[in-house]
Amino acid sequence: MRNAVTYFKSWFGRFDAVGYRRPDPWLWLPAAALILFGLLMVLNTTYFLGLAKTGDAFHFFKLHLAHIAAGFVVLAILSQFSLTGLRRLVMPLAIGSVAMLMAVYVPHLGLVRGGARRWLKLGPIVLEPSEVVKVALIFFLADFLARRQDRLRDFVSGPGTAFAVVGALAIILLKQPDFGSTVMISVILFVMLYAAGAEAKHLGAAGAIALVGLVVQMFAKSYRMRRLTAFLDPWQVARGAGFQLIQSFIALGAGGLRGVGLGAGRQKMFYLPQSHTDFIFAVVGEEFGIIGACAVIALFCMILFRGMRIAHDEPDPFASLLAVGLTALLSLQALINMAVVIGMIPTKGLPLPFLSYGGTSIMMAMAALGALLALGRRPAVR
Amino acid sequence: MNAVFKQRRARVGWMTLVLAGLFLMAVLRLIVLVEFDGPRLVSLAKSEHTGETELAAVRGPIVDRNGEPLALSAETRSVYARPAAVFDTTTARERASLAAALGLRPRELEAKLAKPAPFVWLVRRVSPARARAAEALGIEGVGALSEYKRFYPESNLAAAVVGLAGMDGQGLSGLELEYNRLIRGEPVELSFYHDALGHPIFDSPFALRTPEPGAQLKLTIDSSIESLAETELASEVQQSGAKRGAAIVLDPFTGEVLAMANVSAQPDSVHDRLHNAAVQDAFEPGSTMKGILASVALSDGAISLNKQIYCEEGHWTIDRRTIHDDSRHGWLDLAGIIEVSSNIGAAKIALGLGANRYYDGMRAFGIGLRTGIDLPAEASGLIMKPSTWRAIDLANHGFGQGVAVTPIELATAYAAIANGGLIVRPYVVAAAYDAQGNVILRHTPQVMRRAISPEVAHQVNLLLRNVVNGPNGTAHRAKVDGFIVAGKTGTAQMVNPAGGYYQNRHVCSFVGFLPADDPRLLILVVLYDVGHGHFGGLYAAPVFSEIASGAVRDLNIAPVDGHYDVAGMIPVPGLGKAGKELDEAAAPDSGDEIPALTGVGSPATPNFSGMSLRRALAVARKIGVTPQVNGGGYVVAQEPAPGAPLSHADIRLTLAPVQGDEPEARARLVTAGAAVPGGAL
Repeated sequence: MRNAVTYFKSWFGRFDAVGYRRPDPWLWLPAAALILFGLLMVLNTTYFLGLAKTGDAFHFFKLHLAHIAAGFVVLAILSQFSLTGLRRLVMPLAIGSVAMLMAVYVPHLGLVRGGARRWLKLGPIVLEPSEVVKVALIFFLADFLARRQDRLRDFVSGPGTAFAVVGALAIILLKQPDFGSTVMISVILFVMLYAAGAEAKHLGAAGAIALVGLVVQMFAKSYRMRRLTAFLDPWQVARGAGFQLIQSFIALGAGGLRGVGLGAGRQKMFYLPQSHTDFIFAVVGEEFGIIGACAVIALFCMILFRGMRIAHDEPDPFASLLAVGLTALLSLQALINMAVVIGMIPTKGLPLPFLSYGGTSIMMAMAALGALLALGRRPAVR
Repeated sequence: MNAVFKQRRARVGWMTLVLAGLFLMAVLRLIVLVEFDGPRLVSLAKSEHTGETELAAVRGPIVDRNGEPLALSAETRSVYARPAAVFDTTTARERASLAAALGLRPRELEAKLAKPAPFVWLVRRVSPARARAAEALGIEGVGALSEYKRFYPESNLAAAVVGLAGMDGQGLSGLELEYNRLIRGEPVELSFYHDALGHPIFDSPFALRTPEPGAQLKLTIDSSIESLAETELASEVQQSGAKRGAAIVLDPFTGEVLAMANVSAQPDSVHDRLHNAAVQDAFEPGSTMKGILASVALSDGAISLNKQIYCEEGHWTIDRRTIHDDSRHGWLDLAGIIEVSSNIGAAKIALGLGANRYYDGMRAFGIGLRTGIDLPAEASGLIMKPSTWRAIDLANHGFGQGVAVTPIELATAYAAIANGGLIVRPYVVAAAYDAQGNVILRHTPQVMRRAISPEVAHQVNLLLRNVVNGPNGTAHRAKVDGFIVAGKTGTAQMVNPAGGYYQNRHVCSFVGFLPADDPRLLILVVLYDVGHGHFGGLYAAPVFSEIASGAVRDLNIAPVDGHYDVAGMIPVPGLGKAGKELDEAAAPDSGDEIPALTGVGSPATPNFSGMSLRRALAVARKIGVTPQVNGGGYVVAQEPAPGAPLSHADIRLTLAPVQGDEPEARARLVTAGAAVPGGAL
């Protein structure tokens, strides 16, 4: 038995590797603050929804708590991983996530909500594979780019292959459709390629091509077009496509500088659709004002700085690129979500990490944080 | 390797800065959004989150002067639904049972629930029992609120006066409109926060305050007189073939409206509540205007009671227009003109009065002015400015043509004759009481101005008695047993909007008061659009008589005298009433047939005295003689004397104006611009 545990430990790497330090409190404290605050906001925004849909005001809160508990287990385990252990996760994650992504198309397993085939139903558990895919892709790219460090200046063997992999994923994701995740993995790819040292001209050319693809995708689906026009002038379509954005603005405007106070917001009472998921930041703005919203932004900035510090200090390419990818995932997803809420970019359908309700989303955010914490414990990082 | 590491460090550094910069941009954008759009967004939030509902107050009752209800409110329940909640929690079967409970077809209910509104009425104003049945189903999102339904217990009594209140308790016409603010009470306006599905966020703000019930209106209307007036008017409308009729009963001294009836040949329960012809429609009064003319002329001094006016034997042409009388008359004084309702006489009096003075006199009576009665949409009559009048206009206005009055205007003007010369403001509402019984409004009689002196009013009062009681009066049918009635008939052709007058459409009216010595009731009856015949006395006067007979009983007005006191009459020279023989010979109204002569069996000279030349000649022709005629006017002397054996050859008649001041009157007519025919034929 003892041998089995020892073997298990060794497979993941050195659990208590020599020289590893405690997890960085400046990384996990802001995340913990966001999660706790998120608990409050989820309770706050799902109270009436739960009452209306299930009769139990705490229905969604309880689920959220369960997700966080599960996420914490993942986080705690991952934070103990050595670099070797993390690197051993690359292939299982890649294969597993792609399998999950494909399983969405299997009848009875795939779940369609709001016209999108995006969820996987395994008994009582509902998973969103695209959330897993993002983390898995970061692991994969970190490993792939670290291996090909010296061949990155060659487009075909370096960035080109990465583009092919991500392009294939993007096609699958667009089919669901999940435009937000597609954008997300594309941006992550560029960030990691850039950090790994790819040629700027390659990135520029690929970026231009990706932009063209983006525009084509934009025009391909009429609802994306409507979202775009609604974003450009939400007031003109206040009753239609611009409705959600206007309700978001109303929440932020009603909040003003200091907010109307915890629980006193009204926009969550069915005025603002998705107030507990993609638009939770608007409720933060309504109840805690600009001050509260800025505090949330500041916490994400701390995560950004601490995560990027690991990437900056880490000499190991895999560890560094993994840190870049995971930090970029958390902060970019937060940025894009907030930018949608405040009307800077068209609606995407991305949750706010740590705050939004959503099982897979919060679990994967905590997993990413756990991996980041593990990287931050390495002796190389000061 | 080291170079790669260095490059990565640098690139990670840059990326961090870019991402941090993006976070900063988000902060700036947030501040800009809240700072610049803030006020607009806050007000949007407020309007979006705030719901308002109004709890209607009980509308106050309207009762007559004796407390008989004319309008009441009953509590009903209105069932509402919040469609989203209903659809979320019910099956189609449950909704079908709800539909059944509400008396709707399932499809109707589904259609109402399908509206994209947070709140819809399912049924309104149903019995509390039906609403309870719906609520008993316990369907979430279905509830009932109290609403009040207006009903009129006396069906259509005083319908146009009381008016109509709409579904939401707002006055639409009549007193319901005029006194809406008093009657409707104080509804409670609730504003509350609600979620996007319409649920109020705070529990039960309904209990905060109950609506203040509306005030009770007590009218001056007497239900029994009103009912009598409507019944009598309706039956006369039926019999006469009139399109509609209006009647007003006033206390001439106070202006209290005791009854105001509007009747149509084709009753329409809604329209009859919306339109009150008695105050909203002007009509050409015709001869009823002569009473006003007499009053104005007497107070002006333009005519005296004993002045004789030649009535041209029924046809008189001025300005190339011919004025007709219904019967032919020669010389008449004012009393005679009023009694027989001579248009020519009235025209001459008007011409003698002059345009400006007649106009001012009519205005003093309130002709062409609103009376100020407390009913909505009162119209005013119409008199053109006197500067636009030609002589024919002035002459026509003298007998009420080319002038328009509303019934209430005319009634108020005659009330002044009845009450000694004062124009009072008519009113319908005596008082209003709040729910606790406190008086919140009381109307007292209000004198607007003096139209004529009491002396003139008395003189005209006497003149008007002749119309009803005089042997040649036009309104014998207005008599009321035990009372002396004074009044005036009127008949006018209806104005054709296309120009001119309809030949066969008339407005017949009678306005009068009783007891003449101490008037308690002033009654105006107007019948519109009478097709055949055209005598106000024939149609309107009997209605007056019936209403008056009933009203004096209701009001316990003691009969003054069983019979008309002949001594109280003003003697009318030229009109036979003092002697029977004269009466027979001279009665101008008795039609074409020349009256039988006295002593026909043995030829004797008839009595020509008092006859006009035309009549005298007609009588002479009948007996086959041709008299020699001297002078003009009326026969003052004859030879041989009446009763003497008839000598076919030589009957000599001497004619003269009956009154000495005739030339003077004629002179005034000349100066007034009217063509006056010579005295001698």
